[in-house]
Amino acid sequence: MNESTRGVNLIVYRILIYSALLFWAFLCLFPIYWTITTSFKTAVNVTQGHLIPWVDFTPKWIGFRSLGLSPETIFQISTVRDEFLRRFFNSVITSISASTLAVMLGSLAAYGLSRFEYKLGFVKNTDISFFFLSQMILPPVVLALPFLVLYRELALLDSTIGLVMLYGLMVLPIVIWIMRDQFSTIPIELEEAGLVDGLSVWGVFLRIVLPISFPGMVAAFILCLVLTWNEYFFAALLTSADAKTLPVMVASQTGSQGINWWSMAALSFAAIAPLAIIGVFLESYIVKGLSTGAVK
Amino acid sequence: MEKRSTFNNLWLPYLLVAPQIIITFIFFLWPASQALYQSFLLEDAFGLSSEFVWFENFEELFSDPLYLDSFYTTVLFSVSTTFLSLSLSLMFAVMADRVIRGEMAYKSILLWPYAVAPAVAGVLWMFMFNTGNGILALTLQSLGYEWNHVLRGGQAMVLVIIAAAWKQISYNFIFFLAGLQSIPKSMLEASAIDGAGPVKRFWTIVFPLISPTTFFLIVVNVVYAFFDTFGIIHAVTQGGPYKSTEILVYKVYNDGFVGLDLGGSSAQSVILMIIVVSLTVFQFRYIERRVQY
Repeated sequence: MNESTRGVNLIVYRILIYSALLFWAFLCLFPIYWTITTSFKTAVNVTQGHLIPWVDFTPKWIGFRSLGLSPETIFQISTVRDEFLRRFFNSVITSISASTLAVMLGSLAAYGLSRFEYKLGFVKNTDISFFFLSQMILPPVVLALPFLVLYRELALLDSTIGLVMLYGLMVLPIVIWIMRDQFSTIPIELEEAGLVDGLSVWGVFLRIVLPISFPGMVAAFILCLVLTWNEYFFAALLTSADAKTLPVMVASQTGSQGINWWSMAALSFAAIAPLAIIGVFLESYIVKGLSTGAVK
Repeated sequence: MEKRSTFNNLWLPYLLVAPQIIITFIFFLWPASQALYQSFLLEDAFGLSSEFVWFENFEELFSDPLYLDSFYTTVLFSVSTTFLSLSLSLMFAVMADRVIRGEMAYKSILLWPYAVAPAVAGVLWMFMFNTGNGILALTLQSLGYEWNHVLRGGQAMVLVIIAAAWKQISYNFIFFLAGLQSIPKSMLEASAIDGAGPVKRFWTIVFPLISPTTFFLIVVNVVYAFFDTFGIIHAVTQGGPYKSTEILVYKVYNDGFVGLDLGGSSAQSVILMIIVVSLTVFQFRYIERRVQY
């Protein structure tokens, strides 16, 4: 094989690989793109498969008008907008509080497990860890019925607090898993030095351990945020009028009178956007969380 | 096992794990045991009294053709989803492994499918396949193929499989890429010098070396397809048409919360519990130790 054919081969090879990767990007992103643009299209544009805004079709605020969020409806009173905002902020509040709760409790438990020795009869550290981690595997639907009964008894049905507690519990094992990994990379001598210098155990935790393991905590927090923001099953089951979250609202646009495509597209956009933005800025944390959490 | 040096403190360690243990008992062990107990009960038609019937609920399930159908649907759904998602991700991860430039853009933007809620992922694909205005349905129509997943069970199944697989592709991609990048380049170069072409190199060297990753991802994806796809089914097909997409998780919900057959639904959950526990034990036993990142 002479030099020039090898060069041509290399170029062909590059082109093939890059076009395959472009196709991959297309596969990942097109469904999202299509849905978002749908919320700006008139019916004619949708049925004719118009794709590119300003070239193929003129964007109009159709989807957002139906939610009361377009420029001309934003100052008018709109019940749909109120409903949407309530669902949106329910989702925000629920996922942020649940993730914060889980990271706080989970970090403490993980710190305990990596720094102290437990002896409760025959139960040792590894048994406790396994006991916690084993909860990650149970599918929510298995616990659904008893949960419904429990929440009715505790009057937590359709309440944000109930949902926060449940989500916190759901993601706690993941936090423990990630944070235990984080803490075990910190040499204990650092903490011992802190103790010698007169810090209390809490002082050591707050001033030495916390700053070092902070990136891990952020990773755990974001992973929790993704999982709780997207949770659907319990939200659909345990909430109705007050505490219902955004994913449930998106799915419930499939009503008996057919589907309201435009508001559904706009709602999907609103459900995807926050995490997409977080994903762009904090991608490395998500990947870190995924590879240490390695379960969900 | 290595012995770590630890602190000594009498009560603090217990205080640290106490909240978790309390929560576990109230929100995890109690509901799980209730589900187990309920599965042995038979309620009368009005839900007024119940009777302990041992394994009758289970016997009834396994002689119920609808349940066995649902079992078959679930296996078909999970296997197809896992296969589709893994093979696509692996193929593109192998390509991306050759091109390290632009890795940042790849990872951050292509992570988006993972960040989409299952229910919303279902909705996205429903948009594209909607008869009359979805771009894929229209394309198929122009090719002379009628697409209507609202009426045709097989097509509904294809739709939910695609949506479920799509949601997982970026997750799988990241793990495959990490696995591929941990393969020493010298090994590939050595075999290239020995005259092995890219395809042969892949099957004889790369594929065996990333098999722990593949194995791990198979289990994760099967568990995902079994249990975390409720949102997709609920948003897109509601188990229909004619129960053609009613996977086990959806049937538990449908029988228990819509049909109010508590005993039967609990028995189904117990079976699901057994499936997931065995899958996980399998994973912990055979994979955990071998997957390295």
